[in-house]
Amino acid sequence: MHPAFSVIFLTTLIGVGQGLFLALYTGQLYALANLLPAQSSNFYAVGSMVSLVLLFAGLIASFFHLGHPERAWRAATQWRTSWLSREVLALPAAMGLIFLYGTVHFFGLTKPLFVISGTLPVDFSLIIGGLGTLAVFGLFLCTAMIYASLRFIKAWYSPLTVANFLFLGIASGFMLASAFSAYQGNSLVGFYGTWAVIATLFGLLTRVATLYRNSHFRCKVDLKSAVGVHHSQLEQKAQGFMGGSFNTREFFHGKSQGLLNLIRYAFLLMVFAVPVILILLAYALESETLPLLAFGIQYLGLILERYHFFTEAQHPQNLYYQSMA
Amino acid sequence: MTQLALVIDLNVCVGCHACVTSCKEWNTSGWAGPLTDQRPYDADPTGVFFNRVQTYEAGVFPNTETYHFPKSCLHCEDPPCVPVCPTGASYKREDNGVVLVDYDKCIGCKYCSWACPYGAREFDEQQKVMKKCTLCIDRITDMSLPESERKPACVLACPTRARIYGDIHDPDSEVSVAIREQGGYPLQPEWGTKPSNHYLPRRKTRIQIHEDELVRVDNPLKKEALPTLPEAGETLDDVAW
Amino acid sequence: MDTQTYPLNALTQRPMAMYHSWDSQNAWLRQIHTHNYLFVNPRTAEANGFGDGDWIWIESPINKVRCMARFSEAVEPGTVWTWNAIGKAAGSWGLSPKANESQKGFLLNHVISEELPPCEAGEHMSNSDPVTGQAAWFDVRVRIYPAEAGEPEVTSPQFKPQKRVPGQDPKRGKWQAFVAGAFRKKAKIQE
Repeated sequence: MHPAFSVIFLTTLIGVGQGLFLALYTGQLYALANLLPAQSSNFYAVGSMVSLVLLFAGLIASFFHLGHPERAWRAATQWRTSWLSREVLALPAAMGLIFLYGTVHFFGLTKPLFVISGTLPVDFSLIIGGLGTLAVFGLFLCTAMIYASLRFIKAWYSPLTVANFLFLGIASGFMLASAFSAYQGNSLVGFYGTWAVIATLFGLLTRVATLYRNSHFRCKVDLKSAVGVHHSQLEQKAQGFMGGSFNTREFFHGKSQGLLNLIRYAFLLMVFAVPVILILLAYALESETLPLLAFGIQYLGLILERYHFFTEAQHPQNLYYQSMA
Repeated sequence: MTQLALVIDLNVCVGCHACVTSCKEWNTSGWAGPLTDQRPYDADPTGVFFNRVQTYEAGVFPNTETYHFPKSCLHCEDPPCVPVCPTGASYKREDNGVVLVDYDKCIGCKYCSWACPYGAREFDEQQKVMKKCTLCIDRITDMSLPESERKPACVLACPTRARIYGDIHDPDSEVSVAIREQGGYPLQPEWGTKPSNHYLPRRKTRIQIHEDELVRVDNPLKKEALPTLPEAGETLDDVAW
Repeated sequence: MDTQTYPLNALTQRPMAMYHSWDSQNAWLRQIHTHNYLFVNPRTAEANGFGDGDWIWIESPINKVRCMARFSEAVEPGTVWTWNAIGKAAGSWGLSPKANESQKGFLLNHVISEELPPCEAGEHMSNSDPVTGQAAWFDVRVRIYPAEAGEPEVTSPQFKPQKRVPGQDPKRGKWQAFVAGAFRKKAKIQE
């Protein structure tokens, strides 16, 4: 498939935004359980704001993918059948809840509403955060299922696609949370950094598994089945046009294998190896800038990762467009 | 239920592209139009077509067969492109099974084209909406036309009658009979999309010619050479000469 | 004719999409055939040392043409052929000088002689059918060989782009409407 930068930015940006929100809420839960020192409302409010800005940037990026963005509201109508439509609903839902979560913290509306079994004080932020977490996981699922539900594109048609989107989103979000904590100078740098490393390692596992899977399968259909001529030596001579068409522009990446190998090594380094090393270094040196650097490098790596994700996908329609004369 | 479809006879298609151009001519000026072109007189001209004819070769010389293979939307009975559409712009007509796009609802996200294993949909770069073969829905449903003309433009244009049109759910229709009797097959049946359009395979045709017709003495190709009698002796043709 | 040096027959045929419409600069038809290849049997190509899609030279006793090759099992190994009348001179037929027809398309005409080699019938006998006058082009003998590595990837021969004829001027920008006619005097156009 031809990599669409609008979609690359959409998926990576909202991934970071969602991961960051999950990081904030995880931090709040840990603080509630007295496993971590409680943070100021400001930390959650500003953090939610950053998450919201990232989601919004992703939303803007997605509009560049559309031919008619002014009709985008229509995309909310087919949620019964279309994962894309479900994403269109899940994204504003998550954004709304994250906005509310930030607002509740900003105005300090964190007085417990009631207490469960005498130990768990429940306030607005806990409820909204919980709902937001559901929405964020739902959004991860919808975003990934857009690709994972296309049964013809075998490189994507796998639960691994969902796992990759989830782990890489969480990893980059926690990485940003770690950088944000370092920037704010609070004590959560290590906590977020550790979880970011764990999510990154999970992501490494599923992404490498995906790469292995994609290099070892054979497409279900071949040219014989595509044309219906079951001859062992069937070759295309003409595709019906010579100046290109939507079929040749949208479904072919047109990049050399050498470049793709380079991109693969680059993203494996930038998404997985370098950020983990930088976080470990940040522990050792107690550095405040290294987590930020780790996040920046990981995000750039994610752009390459998503680019590669598109180029991995072999669309069966490409069988019909192999040669011209 | 009715399921309108095309049956394309690969045995007689000669690859003249008349279906391609007549399709574009009808559809660019009708309900489904325009089918825009980019760089029409410049390098790499490109544009929207609903139907293309491709060419394939099977076998090694001298046992080669050339296949001209017209490909348009197959109007699947279970079209994978329809449920993925987020706006409902892609739909399958209940009454005749034709898969269509409502241009006014299409947001141009191209997701339907990703979900089509046949590459049947084409995005219009100028109008920014997805377009596809409509089976000339504005012709076949136009009751003001005489019945003989209520057919897709490509079917009417085909000089070799390689394209047959009709209801594949009606067991007595011309298309159903052709599929049944001539081994009509769908493309990429592995996916279970149940394409409505079918293709009729090549049939072995043998030339009905006898040996003595080949060696006739008055063979015009041998006019300039001296007539020689074949070893087998006189034939009926020699007598005529 | 030395058939050892020029072992192959070169043919052309009209693309079926354009059979009844010779104006192949048509916006739709030229999408179907915007340039052409020389169809060569893979065994012939192998013997001459080039691959599918490579740039090659076709040489007859009088001239040579550079073009791209396309393998085809449907062509007899002693014959090569291409679509006729796809190639065009740069800028001709109202097409852009960059059009594929002139950059990747080619005509076999350049290797076909207009006159027969001198023979007892005369020095300047037309290479055409004596009865109909139809130009003869099915008796062309050629040889083919790969183009050099450094050669430009355009067909040869190339000609200086033809000038546009009046009425074929490229579309002017909207802003030019505001100054329309302002330069008439300078261009010495009489009212």
